[in-house]
Amino acid sequence: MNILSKIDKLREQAENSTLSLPALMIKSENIADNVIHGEHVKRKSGSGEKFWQFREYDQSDRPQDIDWRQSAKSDQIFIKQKEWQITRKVFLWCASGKTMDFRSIHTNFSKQETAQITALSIVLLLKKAKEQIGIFGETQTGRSEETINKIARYLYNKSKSDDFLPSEHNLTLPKHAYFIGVGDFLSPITDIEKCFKTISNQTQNAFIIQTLDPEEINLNFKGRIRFKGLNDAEEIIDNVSSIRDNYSQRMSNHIDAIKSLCHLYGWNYVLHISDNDIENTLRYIWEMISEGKYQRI
Amino acid sequence: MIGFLSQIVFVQPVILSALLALPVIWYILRITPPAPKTIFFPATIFLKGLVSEEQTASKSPWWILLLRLIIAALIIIGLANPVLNPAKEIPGYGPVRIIMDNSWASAQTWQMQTKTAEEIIKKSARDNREIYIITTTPALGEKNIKQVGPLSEGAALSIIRGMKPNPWPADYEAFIKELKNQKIKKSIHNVWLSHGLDEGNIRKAVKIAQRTGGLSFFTVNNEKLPLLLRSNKKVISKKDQKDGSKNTYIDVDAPRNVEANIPVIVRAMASKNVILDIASANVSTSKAPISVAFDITDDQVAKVTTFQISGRKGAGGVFLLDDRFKKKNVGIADNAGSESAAPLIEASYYIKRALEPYSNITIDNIDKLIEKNMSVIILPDIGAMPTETLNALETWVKKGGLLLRFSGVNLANSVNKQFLLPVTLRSGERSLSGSLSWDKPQKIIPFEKNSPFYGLDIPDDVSIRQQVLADPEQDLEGKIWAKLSDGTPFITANGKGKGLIVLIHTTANTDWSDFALSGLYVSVLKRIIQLAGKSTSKANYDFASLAPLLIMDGYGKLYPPPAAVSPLKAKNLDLFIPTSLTPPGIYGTGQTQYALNLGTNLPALLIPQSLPKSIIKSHYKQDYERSVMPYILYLALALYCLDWLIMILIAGKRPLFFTKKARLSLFNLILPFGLMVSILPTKSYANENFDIKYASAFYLAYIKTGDTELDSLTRQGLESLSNTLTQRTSVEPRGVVGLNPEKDNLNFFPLIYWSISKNQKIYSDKAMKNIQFYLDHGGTIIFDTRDQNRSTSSMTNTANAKALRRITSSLNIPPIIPIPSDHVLGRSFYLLKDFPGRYNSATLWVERYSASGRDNVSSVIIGSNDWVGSWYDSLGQRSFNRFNRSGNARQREMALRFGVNLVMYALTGNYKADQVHIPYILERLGK
Repeated sequence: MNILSKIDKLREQAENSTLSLPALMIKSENIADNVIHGEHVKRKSGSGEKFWQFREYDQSDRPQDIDWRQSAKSDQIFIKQKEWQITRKVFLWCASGKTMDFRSIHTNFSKQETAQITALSIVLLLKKAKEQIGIFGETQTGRSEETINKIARYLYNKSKSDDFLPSEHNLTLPKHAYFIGVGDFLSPITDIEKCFKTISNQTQNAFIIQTLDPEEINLNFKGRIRFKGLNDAEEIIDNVSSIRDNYSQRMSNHIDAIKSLCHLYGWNYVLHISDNDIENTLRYIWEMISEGKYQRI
Repeated sequence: MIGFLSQIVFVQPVILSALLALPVIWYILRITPPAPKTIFFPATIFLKGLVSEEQTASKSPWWILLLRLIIAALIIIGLANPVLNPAKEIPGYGPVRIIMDNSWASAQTWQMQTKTAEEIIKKSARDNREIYIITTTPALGEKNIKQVGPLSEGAALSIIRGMKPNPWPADYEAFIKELKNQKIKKSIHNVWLSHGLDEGNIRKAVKIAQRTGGLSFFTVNNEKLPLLLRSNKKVISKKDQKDGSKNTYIDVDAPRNVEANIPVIVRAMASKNVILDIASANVSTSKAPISVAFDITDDQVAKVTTFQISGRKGAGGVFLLDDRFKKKNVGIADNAGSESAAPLIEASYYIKRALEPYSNITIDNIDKLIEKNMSVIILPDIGAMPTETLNALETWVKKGGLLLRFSGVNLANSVNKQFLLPVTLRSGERSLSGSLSWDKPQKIIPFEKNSPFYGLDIPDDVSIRQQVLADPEQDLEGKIWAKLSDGTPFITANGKGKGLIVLIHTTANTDWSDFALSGLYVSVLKRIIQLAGKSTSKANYDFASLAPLLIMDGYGKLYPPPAAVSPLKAKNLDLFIPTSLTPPGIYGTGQTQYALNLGTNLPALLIPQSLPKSIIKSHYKQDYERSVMPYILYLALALYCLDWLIMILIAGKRPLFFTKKARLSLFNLILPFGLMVSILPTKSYANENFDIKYASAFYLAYIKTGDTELDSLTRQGLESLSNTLTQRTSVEPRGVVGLNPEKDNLNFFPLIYWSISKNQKIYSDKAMKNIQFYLDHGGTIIFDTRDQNRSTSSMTNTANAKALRRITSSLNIPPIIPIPSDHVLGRSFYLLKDFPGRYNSATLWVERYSASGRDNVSSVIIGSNDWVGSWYDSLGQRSFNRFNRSGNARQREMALRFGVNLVMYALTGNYKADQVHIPYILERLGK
């Protein structure tokens, strides 16, 4: 199986999970429409482009923007503001590497797969929402089929290399860009703090999606186990059940810390456990993104 | 449980000390926990510094520990080789001497004796004790008993296994002599494996053996005591009015001084092991010996050659009959007229009384006697007779009759016309005593070796007062069988033609001598009439020694004698007890056969009594020492496997057999298993149930072809036939059996049906040999190719015919011919002209010449009419074959009739081949 077919497969999986989201699409489109048109939700035939509102001409406006037909109806001069004139650019980052490959027996997907599917689903949704999508670290955005494929390829190729946090060096987000980060965020909280702070300097709009394996939450192992982590970290626990509560406490502390960071920066945060239904999480995410759009504009 | 455990003894108890190491093993097992599972876990950093509170999981779970300890303990216990039912301890540490009772009485107990001997040998070998073996009877042809030893375990075992019971009594004298000859300095413990009888002075033998060390004496239960067949006074007699139909008797003797009731079945058998009659009795030892009576028809009585106690092996349970027991028809010539005058002093009366127990006596005139074809005719003092009668008598003698003549006044006075005499007589009688005689009455001198009376004791009080004298002639000496003390002939004989003429030179009554009053009279007459019917053209007899013809082995089987067997001395023959030089059996010459039986002269049977109290007495056991080691090691293996499985489960290796470790574990599993299998005692179970089931009733059988559909058809067809047989005939088959010639014993089935299929599997050589053996020994196989409609000419090239040819190519089948119209198969029950099955035109092939031993039953019958199919059809079911129900009802009935005939033919042979029904049959056949 060559890489291309794998990419196709990955995309297919992502599409499969979004294809069953037509309701969500309609809803999200409706939300978007509501946001744009306010009470008068009428679609003009033949216009081809959704407009947002008519506004009185201001000197700062370009004359090309004047809607003459509307202006002719009254004494005032209106300009037609189109929706996407202020389209945001969405930049996607997805964690990858060894820790993301973990999959316990309780789930069907590894965290990596979960993250990839989630990310790609969001991309597809965004594409349908006519947002400009780009890969974090690059400046180019777009919403063409080619861009989608490129992102899918990016997600797939990335899965081999270790990338646990959005790198500071790649931080070239345009202003008002929307940052979506998918990962397990199991790095030490100080690293995460540092990283988030850097991102928050660039944009106020970000969405952190943390995917964790149920085993990482609950630590359901029994007996004597040698745990191996990154950088040859190794812990031998003689009786896992006896430390389960302590571990859960630590883990929830970590999650809470991330949550409060997001809260601090006004970001959205969602925790997806990989044995949960991706669709549900996706629906939630999409609602958050839509809301965010509404709120922010 | 305790009782059970007490029966276990460890062969290598030293190994048990390794059990002490168990705590150490416990400790080692406890401090080496099972290897932890290794898991890559992204959140490992959150585990850092977490310490589990309990420490138990670092050890193996206690039950695994226990399991492993049990495994270790089992292996140790197993290696210590525990044995169940250990043989009794043999006291002392020195050599062990096994005394095997191997006389005639040990045949019944032989298996127990050898088994016990083997155990003792094994046990002694384990204890490094020297082993000696001695028997209580000399070997065949030997006079002395030889002790063997010291022996290695293997040598001793092979000697014991090669030993057989001997058919002669124990010789304690020789045994004691050998014991005394053996100078073994060490104290030797004796183990006497007795058969339970005291054959002479066992007390002395036991005491002497005991002196060399200790003595353990094994004896048997009363039910296992030997039985002995003894001659009855009237072994064979005429049917008696009082006793109903019984006419043959034999005595069964059992040890006296013991209380036991032993049920026995005695068979009277003719040659070739044909059983003529069976009689049963309950031998109560207090009343022994008891007589067992048989009912055998008069014409069969002469055929009885052997009596045998059924179910009991051994020479004591076999009694051979010889000519002496066969009654001759003896005719005493007498003219009825003079009989009534003084019946008690008549010559014929003496003769009759003497011979009555041993022969069938007819008293009549000579003509009638010749007419009745007597084997012996006795003429008591008859001097003359009509010429016609004389000629007839001479012809009778020449044909092989035995004429016994007594002297008397009539004979002495008719010397001028002497007839049918062995010697020429001088005129007149010679009086040896009386007032006018100087001579004294003469005694009979001991018989010479060439006399048939050799060996008979001559009583002192027999004197001959008067005799007839023979003319001295050239060959007189050769004709004399007995002489008087002055050298004159007393009994003379000469052959004539095929017959024999014997003359006793004195009277048959007391007129001339005391001879008729003595026991010798009876013995002499008996011996003379035994000669009747023998080819006696030569007058030369050598009665001094009887050469062995067939001798008996310890189990009562007859076999040709080896050179070591000595001829039987005729002297005191009737009191002779078989020895190692002259075992029981049949001795004799061409003329006469003498059966030497154990039971004739053996003293009363006794069991050993008043043995010294210091000996260790024990009984043979039914349960023998058995090693428990393999079973314990098996258990250990099973637990080991369990442990292995648990380990696999704990380590969480999902693909069980594909990891390298798992493969190693698998190897670990298989290796000890293989080792264990190799140490398990191998036991082969004889297919006895099969044998007993099928030998005890009549079953119809077929060969499984491997074609399931066909086999099912054949089975149901045969079941249909079986029903028909049960309804219509006295043949009631118990069932239908499918046979696999590869492994089944075919020999219980008189008839085997073989439906040929083109899918017929090829049998191995072994199976073909099995089939060939079956055919050669009286079996009949009917081959059915079931394809008549597909072969135009007979048996040519159809697939089934090819299959048949393939099968038969490796069988030695005699030449076959199309069935002749008068074949028995056509009339063994029903009268049949043809033999239809589903088809009705194919030829039936049978053997051309049936072997003589098989009652003219063809060993193979080959046809293609598909009889089973038709039989199956007549069950009323729809045929599942592609043919519809064959023929009409009539044809199916005919097929069934053929089946009945076939079974009858196989069972009764040429019974119906006789000509009795020919006219009737011809009429029915319309010829």
